[in-house]
Amino acid sequence: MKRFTTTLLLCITLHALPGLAGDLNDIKARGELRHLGVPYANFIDGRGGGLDAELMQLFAAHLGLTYRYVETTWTDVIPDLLGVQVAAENGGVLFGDAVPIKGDIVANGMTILPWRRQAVAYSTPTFPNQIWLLTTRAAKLRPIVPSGNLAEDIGKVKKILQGVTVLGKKGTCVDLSLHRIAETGAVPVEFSGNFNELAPALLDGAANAVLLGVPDALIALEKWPGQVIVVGPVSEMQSMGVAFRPDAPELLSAFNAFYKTLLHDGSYQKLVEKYYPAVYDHFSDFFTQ
Amino acid sequence: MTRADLAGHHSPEGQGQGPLFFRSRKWFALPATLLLAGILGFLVSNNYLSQKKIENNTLSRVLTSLSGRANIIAYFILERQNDLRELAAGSVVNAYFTNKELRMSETYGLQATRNLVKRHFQNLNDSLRLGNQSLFSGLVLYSVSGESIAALQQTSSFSIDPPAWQDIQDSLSLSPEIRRDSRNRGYLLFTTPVGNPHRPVGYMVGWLALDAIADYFLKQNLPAGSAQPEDIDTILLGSDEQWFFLHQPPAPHLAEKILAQAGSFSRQTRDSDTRDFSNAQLYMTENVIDDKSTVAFTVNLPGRKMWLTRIVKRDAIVTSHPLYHPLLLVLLSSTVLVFFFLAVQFNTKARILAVKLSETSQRRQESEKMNAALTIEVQQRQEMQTALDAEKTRLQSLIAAMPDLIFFKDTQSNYQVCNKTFDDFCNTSSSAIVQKKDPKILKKPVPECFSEHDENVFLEGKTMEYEHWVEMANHSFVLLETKKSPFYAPDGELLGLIGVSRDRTKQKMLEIDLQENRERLHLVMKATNMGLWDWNIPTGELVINERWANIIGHTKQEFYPINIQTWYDAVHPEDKELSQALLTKHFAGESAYYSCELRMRHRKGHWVWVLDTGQVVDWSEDGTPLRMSGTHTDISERKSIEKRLRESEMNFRSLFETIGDMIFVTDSQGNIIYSNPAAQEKLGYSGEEFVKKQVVDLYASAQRVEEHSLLSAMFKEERQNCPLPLVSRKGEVIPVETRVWPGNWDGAEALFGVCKDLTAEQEAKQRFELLFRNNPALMVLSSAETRTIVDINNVFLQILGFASHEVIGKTAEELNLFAEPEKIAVAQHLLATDHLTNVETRIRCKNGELIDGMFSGEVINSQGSKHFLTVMINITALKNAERQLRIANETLEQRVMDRTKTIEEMRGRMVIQDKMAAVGQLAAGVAHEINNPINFVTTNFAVLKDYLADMIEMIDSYRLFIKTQCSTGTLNTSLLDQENEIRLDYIINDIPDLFEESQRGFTRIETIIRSMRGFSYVDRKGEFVSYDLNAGIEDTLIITGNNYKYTCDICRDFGSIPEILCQPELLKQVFLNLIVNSASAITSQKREDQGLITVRTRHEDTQIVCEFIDDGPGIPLEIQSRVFEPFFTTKQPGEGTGLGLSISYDIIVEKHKGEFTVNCPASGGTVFVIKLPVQAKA
Repeated sequence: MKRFTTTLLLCITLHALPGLAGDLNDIKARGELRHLGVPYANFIDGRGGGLDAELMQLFAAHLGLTYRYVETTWTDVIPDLLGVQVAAENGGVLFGDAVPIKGDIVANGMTILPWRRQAVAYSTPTFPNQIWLLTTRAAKLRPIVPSGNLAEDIGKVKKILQGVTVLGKKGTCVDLSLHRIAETGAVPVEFSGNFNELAPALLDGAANAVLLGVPDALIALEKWPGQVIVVGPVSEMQSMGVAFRPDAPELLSAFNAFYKTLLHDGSYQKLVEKYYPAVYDHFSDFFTQ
Repeated sequence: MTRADLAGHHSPEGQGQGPLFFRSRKWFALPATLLLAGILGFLVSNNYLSQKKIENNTLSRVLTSLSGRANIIAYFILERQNDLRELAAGSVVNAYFTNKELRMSETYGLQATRNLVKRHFQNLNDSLRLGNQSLFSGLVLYSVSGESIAALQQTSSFSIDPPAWQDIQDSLSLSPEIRRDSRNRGYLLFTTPVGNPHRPVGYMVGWLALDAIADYFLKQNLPAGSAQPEDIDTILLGSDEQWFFLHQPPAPHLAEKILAQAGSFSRQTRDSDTRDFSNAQLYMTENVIDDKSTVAFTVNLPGRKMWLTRIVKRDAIVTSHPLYHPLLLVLLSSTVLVFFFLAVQFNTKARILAVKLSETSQRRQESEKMNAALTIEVQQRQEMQTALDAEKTRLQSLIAAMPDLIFFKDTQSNYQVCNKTFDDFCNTSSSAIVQKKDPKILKKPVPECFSEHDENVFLEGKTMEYEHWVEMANHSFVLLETKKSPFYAPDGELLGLIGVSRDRTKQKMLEIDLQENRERLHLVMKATNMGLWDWNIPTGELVINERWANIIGHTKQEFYPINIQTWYDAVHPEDKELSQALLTKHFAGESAYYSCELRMRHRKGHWVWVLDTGQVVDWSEDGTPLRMSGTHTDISERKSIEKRLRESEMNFRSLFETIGDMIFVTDSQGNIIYSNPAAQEKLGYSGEEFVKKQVVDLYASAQRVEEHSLLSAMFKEERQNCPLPLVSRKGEVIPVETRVWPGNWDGAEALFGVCKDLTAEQEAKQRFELLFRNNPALMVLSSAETRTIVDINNVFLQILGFASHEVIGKTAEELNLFAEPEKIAVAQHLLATDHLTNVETRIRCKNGELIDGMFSGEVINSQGSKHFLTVMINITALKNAERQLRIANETLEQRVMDRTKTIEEMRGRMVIQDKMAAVGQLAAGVAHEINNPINFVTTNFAVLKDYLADMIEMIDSYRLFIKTQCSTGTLNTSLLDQENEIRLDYIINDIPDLFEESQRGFTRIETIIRSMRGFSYVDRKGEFVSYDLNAGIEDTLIITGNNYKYTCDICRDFGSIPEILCQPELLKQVFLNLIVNSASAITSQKREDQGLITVRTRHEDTQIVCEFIDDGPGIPLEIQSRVFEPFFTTKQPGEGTGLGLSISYDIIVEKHKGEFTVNCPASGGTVFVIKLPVQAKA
């Protein structure tokens, strides 16, 4: 009921701004696909490269549109897409004041979270994710011994967090409240910096541990070998996807169809191989399925 | 001329001339023939030697080529070993072990780390290629226990089965090693430990197929292979045990033989002292295989126990050359013709003469003709001889002119003939060498091998070649390359040997230089890491080396086909114009070489700074450049440094511009070439004005001589600072501290001077000095490092009594200044870490007197070092006053306490007195109320007694009467019976007793009432009255009778005592307390027998002594002293107030100035002793 209410509210809000939004035909009429993105890991490097940047460039070319990258922030990425302020609240989403719509599509390794699902429409999952807890050699945390059961492993990780300072970033997939870190007895430390700076902040002593998505964790392991240590998982398996306005179903369908072709001809796998060669080590099933 | 002609000429006349003529011709022919044969033999042998030389050169080239390849392969192996070591030392590989050690789980993280290692392998193989093959055929990271952590196996035609851990365990320290896989293919195995080599955590193992090495290093410029199965031209690589064909394996049956013997090649060549080539690492052995025409070249891989061997059919590389000397051909053909002619002639003549001898007479006429013909023939022969002589002369001249030493030795190694070059070389003459051996010719000791060589030539019967250094008479050494060939007579007899020696000293030296240059160039190329390019300008074709491509992130193969456009496309657009301009300038001959710093695009997209240098090495006749060679050097780091340098320069410039100190730069003559704004502002000169000045101009004229000498010393770097002040344009003297350093400014030597304006510092110093010297507090400046005292003020010396020299340079501990060292240790620690404020301690003066001081301190920097500045205020007077005040306070407090105690006691007594007063009033009231009825009862009782006596008398009369009447019977006896019944007689008898007893009771009541009245305060006036203590004690005993009469007996031992002045009521209170206490103590024993209380009085001198003695339980010794304390009681709560004895004490001691003591004798009980003065009233 709650979801229905929020979706209804969203639809009412979006329909109240018809001139600024638009589905596929409007975008085609405009001749430009505006890609909203936040520089994050190897999804968007901010210089035109990155898995999602290339994916969007291919998609724009596929549609015969000019590609334009619109950089935003994790806080503003959904408002810039929807044209309305949003905030996660107790697992749901609250809509606020109207803001200008700045883009048509969001692709920057955005994890599909329940509260986000209430605000945006997600494509077919494009990338796997899981949230891991990482620490440093200097910290006293030590990796768990995996049991073979993910839920049990998550429990093991959360059990050893009493008094541990854990770094996370609000509004993202490593939102500390999302993973109920405070309930474990840990000391949540809200990170105000760039999402990509979480691992450096950990090494800089901002906290004893940090939550990172697997893509980020793999990059951290590669960038700082021997300095960051994976303690264990704090979340079930997640997925990332491309986000659309709920009132742009045609654009969403077009993307899903396009994405399916890329998967079939192996182009997408090559892109993934280019930017995340290690992801096949952990989530090979995701791409073969 | 036919046989018939010859026969026809024979005549008898001619018979006599014929033999003579014939003999003369034969005499000529034989030596001519011998001479010709000799010359011919010489030329043939010379030709043979030339052919040998060509062969040897060919062999040498083959060997050199093989050596070059061996060096390349050895270097390649070294690089791979280094690759593996770098891999093992890399952070990624080590991170795996670190993460494992930290127990990072396989599922969460460790697998990623493991795959990182694997990708690291892949990156290595991708970035460094062996042709189009991977660098390593396989890489494995093993743990020390043999667990394969990460592995990379390349699949190609050169794949090798990965070696198992158990197979390589023995090879971990032997790397690299040649191994054989399960499919019999050879590979190089590399191993290196990961982590500490002595305690490795794992091992990096890599392997590389030998086929891949052969494919890359050996496939070019080698024969394509043999066409026939029996042909051999193959190359092997191996160690002592393992040998593999790297190139062109021969037919199987030959291959088996070669492999069987291959190991012996290296061993033979290593063990043998005979080396055919001067380079110690090159070996050649002939006839290694059954076929005698096979040659084996064995070359050691430098630094490895590996050998590269090429086995080849000699014919395949050494081809026989036809006789090539044209002169020799002409001479040979002529000689053959002559010989043929002479042979035919002699043969014919011989036979003809034989016939002539028998037919001389018939041939005379023909003989004339014959003679004529012979004359012609002789003439022809003479001409021919002349020609031959001329040819011989030319040949001798040629031989004499030849630069080689040519000699002939007989079979005894004695020289027989030599050419002029030989004479010159040995500084001798041809005649002098005949029949002499080497030592005598060379005039120096010669190696024994010289004669051995001759013997070998004689023994082997073939040409042999040697190379030896020969010491000359002038002690210089000459390298002779000598070929010696046996010389046989036509009949096959060995006559000696012909030797040709060539001075190869210069060539050898050139070779050595060339080799060194090559090695140097190789080292330089390796050290500078330069890329090479060679540009065919007309065609645009470009040849580069691997490094050229590596600099911009590519491999060489990626650029094929490459031309100049490839380079041009990679150049940064902004740099193309400059590069073209420089090239044009160089092509025009305006610059000696081309050199341009330009940017090239890296494979990853960024730009790499490259120093592109080159020079045209080939020009066409019309001056058009044809070919240009050059190098690429990666100067990105240098560019980065330059950038940082520029930034640094800007920083320094900003520093110079903004720094408050004055900065000058002067040339070596002292001329100012730079001044900073601070200098201009403080001294009042502009920058241009400074430039016109010398640095000495900035000093006062009176000090310029001194300044000049100081500056000279500074220029010579004999001193670095100058204390003289500067003078501003306005004449103001500015104290400065000038420090000077030599350096370079705009490329020339210069001096940098920094003048720190000390005006403020000096003022501060003066203020400090004044403050320090005149401070009324003790001030000490001590070194923070050594704690020694550096300076003290006068007050310090005055108060502590030291002289200055006794203190300076010593520590406080040495001076024994501190009376409380433990307090000072803490203070010093505080001072060293922060600062010290108001720490009090005591200081010992020189005379031992202690004074109190309050310390404060700070760390200050003085003259470049840290010092403690300590200030001590003398607070001795204050502390003394404080001590006195404390004592006074303590006294006052004691007095207050005493007073309070007294007040409390007084209050207690007052309470008791009030209480006693109340009791007294009550007793007085009760006594008064009882006394009145008792009085009239007593009075009435006396009357009643009288009345009763009368009545008894009457009753007796009545009874007598009744008794009489009854006896008379007048009356019945009932009255008598009634008397008997009530025992009237007894009553009557008892009444007097009852009255008596009642009387005593009344008396006692009166006594009690009197005592109560006496005890009460009713009668008390607070005045001392004369009183009998015995009476008082008796009164008290009476009153307290109920307390003791059931438990104690009273023993009154009253002495004769006079009355004394006292307050009786108070003393009786005391007596009462003592008697009640004794009775109570005895009662508390619950004893079966009666206790005893003895009250004894006596008169002793001026005092009355009263002792109250009981045989009760006594008082414990520890509380005896407390029994007189107020409220001290041993009774149960509610049973006593604890005031009895306290009040008693006050009454006896305070009121009556007596003594009141208690003691408990060892026999038991308690004795209270009261001593009262007879005249107690003051």
